[in-house]
Parts: sequence; C-alpha cells; structure tokens
Amino acid sequence: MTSSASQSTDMRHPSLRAGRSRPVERSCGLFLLRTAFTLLLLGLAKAGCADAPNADAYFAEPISGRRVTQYTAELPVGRDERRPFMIPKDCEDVVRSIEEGAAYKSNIIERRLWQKVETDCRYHNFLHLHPLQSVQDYVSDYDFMNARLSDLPVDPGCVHGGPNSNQEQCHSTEADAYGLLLHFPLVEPIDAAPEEALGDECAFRDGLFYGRMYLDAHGVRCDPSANRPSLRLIGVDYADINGDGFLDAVLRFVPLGPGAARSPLILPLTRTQPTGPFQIPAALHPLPPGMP
Amino acid sequence: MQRLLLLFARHPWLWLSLLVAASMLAATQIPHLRVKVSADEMLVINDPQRTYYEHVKQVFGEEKVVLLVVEGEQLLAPEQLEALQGVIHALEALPFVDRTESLFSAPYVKSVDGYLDKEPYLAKLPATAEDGKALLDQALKNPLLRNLLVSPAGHAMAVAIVLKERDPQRDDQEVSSSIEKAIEPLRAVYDKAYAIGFAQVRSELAERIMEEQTTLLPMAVGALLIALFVLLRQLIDILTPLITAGLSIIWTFGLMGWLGIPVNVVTSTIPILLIVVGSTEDIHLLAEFRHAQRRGDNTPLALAHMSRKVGRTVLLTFITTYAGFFSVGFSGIEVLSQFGLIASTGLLFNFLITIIFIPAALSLLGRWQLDGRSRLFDERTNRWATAYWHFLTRHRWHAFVTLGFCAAVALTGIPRIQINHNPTDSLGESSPVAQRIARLNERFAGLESFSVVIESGIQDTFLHARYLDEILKVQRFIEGIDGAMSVTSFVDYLTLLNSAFLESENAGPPKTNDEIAELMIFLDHARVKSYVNEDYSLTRIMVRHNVATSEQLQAMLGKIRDYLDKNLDHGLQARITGDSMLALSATRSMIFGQLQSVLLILTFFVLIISFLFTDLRVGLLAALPNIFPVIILFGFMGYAEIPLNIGTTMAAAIAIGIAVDDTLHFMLRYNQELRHSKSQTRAMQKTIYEEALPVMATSIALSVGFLVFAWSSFAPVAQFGQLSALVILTALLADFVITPLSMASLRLVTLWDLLSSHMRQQLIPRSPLFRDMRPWQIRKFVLSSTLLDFRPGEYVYRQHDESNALFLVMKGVVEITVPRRDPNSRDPVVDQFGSGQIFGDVAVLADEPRKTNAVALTETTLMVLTREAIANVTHFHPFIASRLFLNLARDVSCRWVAFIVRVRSPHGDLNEREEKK
Repeated sequence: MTSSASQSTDMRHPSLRAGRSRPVERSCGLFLLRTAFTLLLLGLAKAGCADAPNADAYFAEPISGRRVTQYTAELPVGRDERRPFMIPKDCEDVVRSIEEGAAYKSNIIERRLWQKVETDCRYHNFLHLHPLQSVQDYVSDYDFMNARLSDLPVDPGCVHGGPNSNQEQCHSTEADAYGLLLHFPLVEPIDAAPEEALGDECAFRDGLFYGRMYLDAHGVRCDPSANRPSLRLIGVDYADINGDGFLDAVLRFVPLGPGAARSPLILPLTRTQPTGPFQIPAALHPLPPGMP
Repeated sequence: MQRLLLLFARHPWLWLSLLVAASMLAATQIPHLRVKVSADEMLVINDPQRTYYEHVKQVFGEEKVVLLVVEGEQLLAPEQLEALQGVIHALEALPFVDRTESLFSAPYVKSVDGYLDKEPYLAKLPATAEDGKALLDQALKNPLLRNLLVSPAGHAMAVAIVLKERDPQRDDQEVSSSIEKAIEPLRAVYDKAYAIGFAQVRSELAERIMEEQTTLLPMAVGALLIALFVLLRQLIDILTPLITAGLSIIWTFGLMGWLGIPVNVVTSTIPILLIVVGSTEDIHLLAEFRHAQRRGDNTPLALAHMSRKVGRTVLLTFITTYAGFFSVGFSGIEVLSQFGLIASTGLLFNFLITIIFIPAALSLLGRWQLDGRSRLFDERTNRWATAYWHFLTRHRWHAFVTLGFCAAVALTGIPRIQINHNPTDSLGESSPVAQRIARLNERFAGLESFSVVIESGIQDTFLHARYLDEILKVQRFIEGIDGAMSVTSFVDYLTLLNSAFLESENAGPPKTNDEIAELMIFLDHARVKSYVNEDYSLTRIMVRHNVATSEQLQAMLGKIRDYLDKNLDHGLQARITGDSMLALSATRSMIFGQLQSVLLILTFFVLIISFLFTDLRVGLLAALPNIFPVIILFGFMGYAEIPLNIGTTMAAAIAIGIAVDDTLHFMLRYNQELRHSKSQTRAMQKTIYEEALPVMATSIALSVGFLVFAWSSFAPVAQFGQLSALVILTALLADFVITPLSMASLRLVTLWDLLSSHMRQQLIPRSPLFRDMRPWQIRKFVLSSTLLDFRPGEYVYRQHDESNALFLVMKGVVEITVPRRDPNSRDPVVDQFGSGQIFGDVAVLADEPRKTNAVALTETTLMVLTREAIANVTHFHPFIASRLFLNLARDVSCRWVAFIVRVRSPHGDLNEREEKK
C-alpha cells in the first residue's frame, strides 16, 4: 500500500490558522468585495453569502499521517492486483468498488485502509451534499479552535447515564445514516465529577480541550485544573449540509489520552443568527446517491 | 625411512639443490599472499543456528552496525550539528555503507494540530543550543533511541552506520580506516568522537596479532637460538632448525599465495608453529648424529646410526602431530579448518625438508664442529642417568604422591575455568578500541546483540492486542534481567505512534485490535522491517547488551529460554538467535575442536605405543605423562583466572603435540633399548641417558622461546606463551618422572623379547601351527605361552597324564612312544618331532588322557600352549583361533596320513626300523 499527497505550504483553513473567527475562504477574486458589500448592506450582521465551491476537507494521509487535502492510496482490488485511487477525486470509484465487491481485503491492514478511504469519501460527499450558493453564513467568523462549551449544543439527553439521558432521542436524527456523531463527546453525568474540581470556564484552547467535561442542571462544566488534553479539534469544515441556505460548520474531534478511540467524531453545527449558541443542523436529507 | 635418510645423505648436492629450487619457486608465490580478517570466518560453517540467523537477517535485515559516538555538553548545538551532518553525508558516500541511522533520520513521531508528523528529529537543525537540548530530551523518551542512539545521561549521541551485505572482498581494516578518516572533522567540535564496531575490534585484533608476530617472533626465535646454543654448542645444530623452519614457512606461504588462501588471525601463527613443532625433530636427529660422533663414528657411520635409531621415531612423531593438526581441518569454523589444513601441510613440508636437509647437510658439514667437547653425552652423563634412575626408583612413592597431589589440586581448579568468547577483553585496558568499547558500554546499551524471534505462522498474528501483549511480556522479562540492556520490539513503535495519536506520553501500546488496525494504516512497514515481517506472522525482540563473559550470557539466555518455555502462548514459537548466539556456538565449537585434536593426538599416541609394545596398558600408561600436563594446564587456568578461549586452547593443542613427540621419542627409544638389553632397568637407564639431551634441549629451548611471548601486551599472546611454556616444562617433568616409573611398573620383557631372533624370525613363522598367520597374531599366542627346557631322556608327559597343553618344539627332538605292558621290552616309537613341529595336540583336542609317552631325546626347549591359553584366544580372537584350529586339523591329518602309510609299510614300527638298522 502506498500513498502520495498534495499539500500546500499551509493548507489550514484560515479560521484554524489564525485562531480567530474568519469567513469562508473564496476562490473568486470578487469574494472580498462582495462580502464587504454585503456587510455594508446588512450593517453589523455577520451573515455572508457563498457561491464558490466548498473548501477542501483535510484528511490524514495513509502511512505518513500528514494533513492533506488529497492523497493517493494504492488499494488491492484482487489477489495480486492493486490500483491507485486518488481521494477525493476517485471517491465514486471507491464507492463503486466497495458496492461491487471489488474491494479486496485479505488482511487487517487492507481492510482498515479500505475502511478509511470509504470514511474519507463519505465525509467528502457529506460536505458536498448541497452546493454552497447564496448561503447565509453565521458560523465562519466563530473561533472554533477556542470555542466555549457553553456555545456548543450539548444535549443532556445524550449523556450516558445522565439524569436526563435519552439515547433514542439523541440518535434520532437522520445524520446517523452518515455514521456521524451528533452529540457532544466525553460528557459525563454530574455525579461522576469531583465537586471541588468543577469550574465554569470550559473552553477549547488552540483546538485542545484539557481535563474532562461534566454536565449538570446548569449546563456543561469542566475540571479546569486538569492539564492533560482529552479532546482535540482536528478540523473545521464549512458546508450547507442540509441545504437549508445556512452555512454549517462541521467539527471533527478526536478523543485523546490513554485508551481513547481514535476515530474522528463529527459534530455539524449551524447558526441562523449572528450571535448565540450553535445548534445541530435540522434534517439532513435526502441521502445523496452512492452514500451507504 | 632409514634408507630414505641415507639416500638423501648419499647425494647431498642434488637434494639440497632441489630444496633450494623448490623454495625459490615457492618464494615467487609469496607476493600473491593476502592478509584478511573476516567475521564470518570465525563462525561455524554449517551451524543450523547460523543458517537460521541468516534467514532471520534476510527477513529483518542486518543488526550489526558500526557506531559513531560523539560526546560533549553541547551535542545539538548548531556548529556541532553542521559538522555531524557533513560527516554523515561523507559516511553515506562510502562504498560499503548501506545507510546511517541517527537523529537526522529517526522519525520524531508526534502530533501537530491533530495530525501525525514523522519528520526526523533533526529535519531542521535547532537554532540554539537550548532548542537542541529540548530536542534531545524528546529523543530520550523514544525507547528506540534511548540507550541506542542517545545516551540516557544526554551527554553522548551515536550514529549507527549500517554496512552493506557482507562483501567477501571487504576488509575490516579498510572499513575502519575509511570511517576514521571520515569522522576526523568531528574531533574539532566535540569533546570526543570515535567509531566503534566489530569491524574495529577485528581490525585491532588483526593489527595486534601481526604486530606481535613481527616483534615477538624474532625475540622468541632469538631466545630459542640462545637456549639451543647453550645446550648444544654446535652452530650447525642451532641453525638447522631455523633453516628447515624457514624453508617450511616459505613453502607454506608460497602454497597459500598460489592457491589464493589469505592469511588470517589464526593462520598467522603458523610460522611460530613450524619453528616450534618442527624444530623438535631436527634436534632429535642432530642429537643422535652427534651422539654417534662422540662414540667415534665417522660421518657416514654417524648418519647410518642416526637413521637407524631415530628414523622410524621421527616418522611416527610426524604422523602423530600431523594427524592432530589435520584433525583441526575438520573443524566447523572456517578459520580453524583453514588453520588445520594449512598447519598440517606446513608440518608435512617441514618433515620433508627436515629429512632431506639434515642428512644432506650433515653429510657435507657434519664433521665441522664449533665445540668438539661433548656436553651431555659422556660417562658423567651416563652416571647421572644411572644415579637419577636409582633415585627415582627409591623415591617412587614420594614422586607419585607429589605429582598425584599436584594433579588433584589442578583438578579442583578445572571447574573454575571461565569460557570467554568476547574478543575485546583480550585487547587489554590500554587498547584504544577496548577503551572506546568501555566508554560505549558506560553510555549506551552495548555493541553485542541477540534477538528473540517469535513466530506464529499465521498472518496478522502480531496485529492482535493479545499477541502484542505476549511480546511485551517477554520484553519486560528481559528488561528485568538487566536494566542496562536495550530491549526493543515492534510494540515500541506502535506505542510511539499511539502516543502521538493520543497526544499523551503515557498512552502505552494500543489496547484493542481496532486501535492497532487504526494505527497500522499510518505505519510504513519499512520503518519496522527490522522488527516484524511483512505478513506480521514473525516478529523479533532485539536485545543490545554488553554482557562480557560467555557464562553470564549463557546464564541469561538460559533464563530467557526457560521463561519462553513456561510463559509464552502455546500458539507461538520462540527462538533466540543473533551474533551473541553464534559467537557462543563458535566458541563452543572452537574449544571442542581444539580439545578434540588434543584427544586425537593422545589416541594416536596410545595406539602407536600399544602396537609397538603389543600391550594396550603400555599405551595407556605412556599417555599419563601427556595427560598430566593437560590437567596441570587447565587447573592453572582455573586458578589464574585465564579464560578458555581460542588462544588458550590453541596453546593446549600445540603444546601437547610437542609433549607427545617427546614421550614418543622416549618410549620408542625405550622399546629399542629393551630389545637389546632384555632388562627393563638397563633399558630405562639407557633411555634416560640417550634422551636427556634432545628432550631437555627441545623442551627448555621451546619454553624459553614461548616465555618471550609472556611479555606481550596482548593478553591472548601472553597467555599463549605462558601456558605453552608451562605445558612443555610440565611434560618434561612428566617424561622423566611419570614415564620411567609407570613403565617400570609393567612387565615389558616378555617371552617374545626373550626368544632369539632366529626363533622369532625363522622357526616360529614356519611352524605348521602358525601357518598363514600374521606376525602380530603369532605374537598373541607366543605371549600367552611358556617355555620349558628338558634334558635328554626327560619325559615331557607320560601315558594317562592329563592332557592340558600342546607343544611346539623350539629346539631339540622329542620322541613319542606307546608304552608296552611288559616293562622289559622297549616301547614302540610312534613318531618323532623336531624344531618347529607340534605334538600333544590330539589328546588336547580329544580331551582324553595321554595315550603315549613323550621323551626328550636331546637338550630340548618346548613352547607350551595350555588349553586355557587356547580357550582365551578362542574367546577374544575367534578369527585367530579359527586359523589355529585349521592349522591343527591340517597337521593332525597330515600326521594321520603319514601314520597310515607307515603302518601299511613292512617296517611301520620305528623301533623295528631302528633295530634293522
């Protein structure tokens, strides 16, 4: 299995690079003018319109693990046959190969690689469910790398064993069909938290969340004294994932620390007004063709 | 042999010219001789362990490296790193270097913004010394670097230089000097910079051995010459051993040059071997020649005496020594095998040159003497020999008790002997290479390595958490034995990857199969190729260590094996392999091979002596004086803490070869003297007298020569010298104490010896009883018989006597008569037997009492073969017995036919015939 990737000098999204709220980057030269004009029209409203292609999502390149926007994976399609797939360009071929049973998985690594390529394609397709045309942007100016937990939609019903736990409701959204996690991870019932360790200022710091999170009647609280990161925000992508005309931010987290599962947890967020907490986008349908 | 020696003496110029011509021809090939020191030659050729290790190396790659070590407070300061980077580039450009591994190439696996970053630690040079220090601290957290490429204290760093697959043409000295040259710039910027690896060790070993050969060898030869001069006082006698040895060396090296066999560490000792072992024969030949001269013989007579007296002995001692060294040629270790074959060929050359040169040279120059006076061969010496023998026999029990006590003490020292395969220990503390290794061992895990290879035979086994746990379990156990070792495996790399993913230094290895699978897609197999095979069914735990002694290593490996046997999952198979294992195996093989050759020399010796004396007891007793020095040698090694290694076992083999030669000379001389004197005491006195000069001269001269080596700064050479001198002197003592006393305790003057040569050579072999028998078979019967003398008219046996023996007439006539009832009438004569004829056999075979009388007619001597003796021979030598019975049957039949003919004749009765006459 080999892979190659293309990567610019700094391909990070501006919001990740600067660590503060920035609008979605447009490839069109008129974008800044349009934005300025819109801002002028809408006064202080920070809504933006987007009619350019979606920003490229970042992937972890097989083998090197580097952050890339595209990579080539040489995948087995037969006992002695391998084929290079460029991701995300060849995602359709990937999906077709899997559906047609051409994905040859003779060992654990090949199986896991096909799985990764499939997941990356699914995520790519997820971001491109709807074209970004004339969307209202109330999300891209938010600095997710330093997001306050109080701004994020932590659903008490999604807390395992919590006082208001309602797992069925938590997973009711159609987004589950995409294999996405829509509830906030690592939130534990309040009675699991040491009383003296609870603080009120719960926020990410440069994409890292230190300590553990707890939930009680007053909302999410955390242990500010913890100096070990437990959650890493590895990417923020922007898309109108449900086609409602509002730009959504798709956050990808990975849990950190011994014993944590490495698979990214995906949290799509949206906002229909310039300020206020984020919400999980409403219905995510219809399913695009080719999606599992 | 005797005739051959005289032939060379008759045409001296012809044979000397041939010798010179052959030597010149051989000398032309010497420039083609190469010197080569190689690691693989030191290993056992068809060792299954080696085959397995080769297979492991094919899967995991070479584990042997040369380490470039830099030391200093500012290891990663910009100036130092720039210099180091330049040197690494220079090293990588060397033709024999495959790659280098250092902080410039080792991946620093970490997470950057949630994504993996595996850029090498020094992908970018740190801007400041502080940055460098921080980077070093990070590197120290990496188990694949700590103790291997970065010292735990952080004051030393190493670059592993991985050499290409072994090229047969590659020379360690070339590797060492090229690397030394390349790293020179580092000495200006670091406190210390040095390269160390097995190539350097072997290179220094070779240099030191060659150096010792060029400095100590002339000194040893000088000491040998001085000792010979003092003892022999004959210039030609002193130069002769040197000339024959010199020519043998030219022939041997010429042959090696012609065949393209390089000189290696072991074969470089052949010159000294030829001087030492070869000179003993020269001295014996010369001593015998001078001895005859002292008696007043002219040169041709002295040459004839020399040929007769020692010709056969020289041949036999050559055969014994040759067989001993030739047997080393069957060693599994290439270097020893070469040594055995070349040394035995060299000894063959030496033998040929000696038997040609000495008679030829003596026939020309034998009359010329530096000092006409005899030193040892005079009446005074004879008196000394007699007095010594009397003294020895008087104090035989004291001597036995003293020597027995010494042997007992030495025996208790033998279990203390250490086996040490580590060549670096022999370099000595002053050696730069040894000092580098000591520094390396203080700062890093060491140069030595072995691997625990674990196999399941099932694909993807080691991608399962359960089996990773098994690896980890073994790894932890090995670490627990010695914390200074570096124990690394595939799990360490996975742990690094997992830590980077989870952004936690304490993440540990992945816990589940899913986590492992997740990590594996970010792992380049080339990175872990040295730990796990491509289908993850075979893995190895690599151990780097500095365990010096073979015993410690063996104990450690034993513990690991035990642990694996008891604790490893039953689905897995584990095997330990690696350089350390092969070195252990090679050491065992070397020691076994050398001891085998000692044993073979002794066996040959026992067989020759037993055959000569037709008595196995004599052979075994004669071996005592040679076993005694071996016991003393090993006991001394045990108490003096001299380890058993290639050098010391070689000393045992070479020295025992010389000791056996001396004993063989002693015994063969004794055998000769015994035949002449028929008295053991006289023969022993004569032997001591005759052999004192040559045996003492060779032993003292060789001991002095060997003792020169004791001053060597190179431990193996010094030990070789000390031990060789010890063995030779002990063998000398044993030859003049144990040999005479043990021989005196046996009855060696047998019936056979007492028989006249006419009886031995003419009468007995022609007797119908011994028809078609070989001399040794006849001797078997003779030695089990007795001789009886009868006066004329004396009865050998009478009618009705018990028939328990048959008789062979040696001398005289015996008449067989049938007694008549009337005592006044003369008994009829049935038969008469003269010399060589047998009688009395019919009654013995029929197991009946005697029916006749047997009377000696003249002075008669009979050889009596008892029924018991015949039964013994039948039991132990059925083939000889069958021959005997056939002969007896034939003889009885012939006599029966003759009897019938006689009875049918008118005058069948011999009495009547006589009366008629």
